[in-house]
Amino acid sequence: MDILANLVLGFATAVTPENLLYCLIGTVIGTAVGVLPGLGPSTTIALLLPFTFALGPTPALIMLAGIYYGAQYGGSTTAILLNLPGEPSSAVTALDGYQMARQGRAGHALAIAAIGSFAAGTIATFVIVLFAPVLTSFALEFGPAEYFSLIVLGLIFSVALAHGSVVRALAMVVFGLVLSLVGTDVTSGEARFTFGRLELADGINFVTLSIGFFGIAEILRNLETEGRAGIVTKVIGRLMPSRQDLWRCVPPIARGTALGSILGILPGGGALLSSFASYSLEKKLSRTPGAFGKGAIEGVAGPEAANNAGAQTSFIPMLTLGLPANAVMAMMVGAMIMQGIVPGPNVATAQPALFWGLIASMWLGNLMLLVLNLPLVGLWARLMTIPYTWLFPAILTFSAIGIYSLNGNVFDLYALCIAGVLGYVLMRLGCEPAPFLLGFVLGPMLEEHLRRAMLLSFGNPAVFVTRPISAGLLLLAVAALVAIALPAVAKKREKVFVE
Amino acid sequence: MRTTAKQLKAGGIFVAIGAFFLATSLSTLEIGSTLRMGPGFLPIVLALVLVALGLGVILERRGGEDEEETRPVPWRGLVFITLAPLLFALLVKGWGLAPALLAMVATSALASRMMRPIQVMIVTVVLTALALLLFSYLLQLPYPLFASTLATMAG
Repeated sequence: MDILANLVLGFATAVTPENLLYCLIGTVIGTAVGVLPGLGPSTTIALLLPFTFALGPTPALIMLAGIYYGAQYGGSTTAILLNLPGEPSSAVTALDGYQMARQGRAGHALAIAAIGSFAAGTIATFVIVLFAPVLTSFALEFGPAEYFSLIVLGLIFSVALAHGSVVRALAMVVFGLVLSLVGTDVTSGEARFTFGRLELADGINFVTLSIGFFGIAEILRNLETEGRAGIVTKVIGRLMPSRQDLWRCVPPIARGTALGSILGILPGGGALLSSFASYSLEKKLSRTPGAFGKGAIEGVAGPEAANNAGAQTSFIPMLTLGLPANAVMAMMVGAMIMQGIVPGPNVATAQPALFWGLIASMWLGNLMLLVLNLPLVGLWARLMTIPYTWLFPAILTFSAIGIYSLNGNVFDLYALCIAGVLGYVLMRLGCEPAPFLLGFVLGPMLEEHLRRAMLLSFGNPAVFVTRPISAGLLLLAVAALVAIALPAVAKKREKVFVE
Repeated sequence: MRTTAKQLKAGGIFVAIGAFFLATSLSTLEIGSTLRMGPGFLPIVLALVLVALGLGVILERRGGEDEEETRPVPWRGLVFITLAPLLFALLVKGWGLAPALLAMVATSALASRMMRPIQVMIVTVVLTALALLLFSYLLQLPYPLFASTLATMAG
């Protein structure tokens, strides 16, 4: 099948009324949670996972995807109007966007953020269309040894590109891997770490862990700083920037899109790193670097394009290799598994309608976001005034009912409380939940490929370094680890995230 | 440079979890060989790595940017937020969805220091009504609103 046939299939799938509806629902929810402080896409997707069961796999994934990129749009709205990034990835947008808002140019900032995001989203969708099949056919050649090394590489990279302590992130990955082994061992049929509880025979529930670590723990984290609110900028002003301003923003948007598309593919990168990288690049290239931080429109356009492009292309490793690049993608993989789809290179060939439909829906979703966001920005801005005291009981209610509706089992609710408190304690100690979730999702795959590789090599572990692709992947993983251990790189890495 | 309390606690948690899984796998699971891996092979390896990483967290030298946590622990929130799903779990089977929801929303609303009693009541009533509308009516979740209605229908 060539690209055109794939695209036709994709759009034919995406424009069915059901899929269009769920795309719209996803993008609307996404924008809303992007705007609402204290509620992000990971939390929302975790909360909605149990309810996607009833939908088919295609509408379920289309909706979840819509929430993710929709939140990138919504997050910039709060960053600009409130100096409160709704999402970490729009933290950079706040730097210049909020300054523009204070100068009465909030409308311009919002418009350029939406336009930049749309342009980047469109281009990134085509990047996916071009690259996904290449990676898929490459990955289909992989044996178990290559796959094992690829997972190791993915996990290490996600740690290297995350911010904060690398050792802690690695420990969280391994903790996730260990917990994923709880339950019946597929090969021997033996129960592992179940302590006689029947509820644990199928393993620890992925949804329970996600909601505990991302829903409950976040609520507790937010209750720490209760009672501090920002001031909403009331005047939005004219929306459309002048033609001169728009023209000035073309190169930053183009560079941001390129940066985001590349960084998004790397595990652990995604939207967050892209926007930081784009901001420093624009500042470096600018003829007036002093204007940055004081309301430079390029400082909004570049990072906004970059984070949206990064959000889109982070679907590539998830769709083609079954390798999630961040917590949201880990949840998408979890949703696929719950729907009975085995993530990996086979998705494109076995489920072409799902695969291409999802990709096409992203472009349609971006179009919907552009239409939804600009005229309705006043409405969205009003969402910000919802106090957190209303939000968190609602989040908790959603969590508990969602979890209970999975199996009608109260054991899952106890597990939710334990996961929530544990997640909170770890978060407070500087251990991020995202690497943990990646480890948990990839654990069973890691063990299966390790076992198969060992069987095929007659128990010789050297297979991982004697097969060239596997050796190359492991070498990259080691190089990444060595690189972050070097003091010079470590310092630079801190600096990127501080800026 | 010395180890901070934060490092000690974080590392301690990982060492404890690793040691727990290591002890459990060593006593209950078979290791096997590299050719035919037993169910205990990967758990033992990973538990050992986790212990090592836990020690690494304690010993790691970070250039002073790892400041101690200054934000207060929301004790009140911790108690009520964990209590709320537990109450729901206790009530949903015996009493039904509506009372369980009411108890959960009310308890969770108490978690905030910012809420006055009257606000707690408003939040509870509105959210419970909305949740019942959404879950029972729109999404048609198959749980009886009141457990007694089921009992009367059956009896």
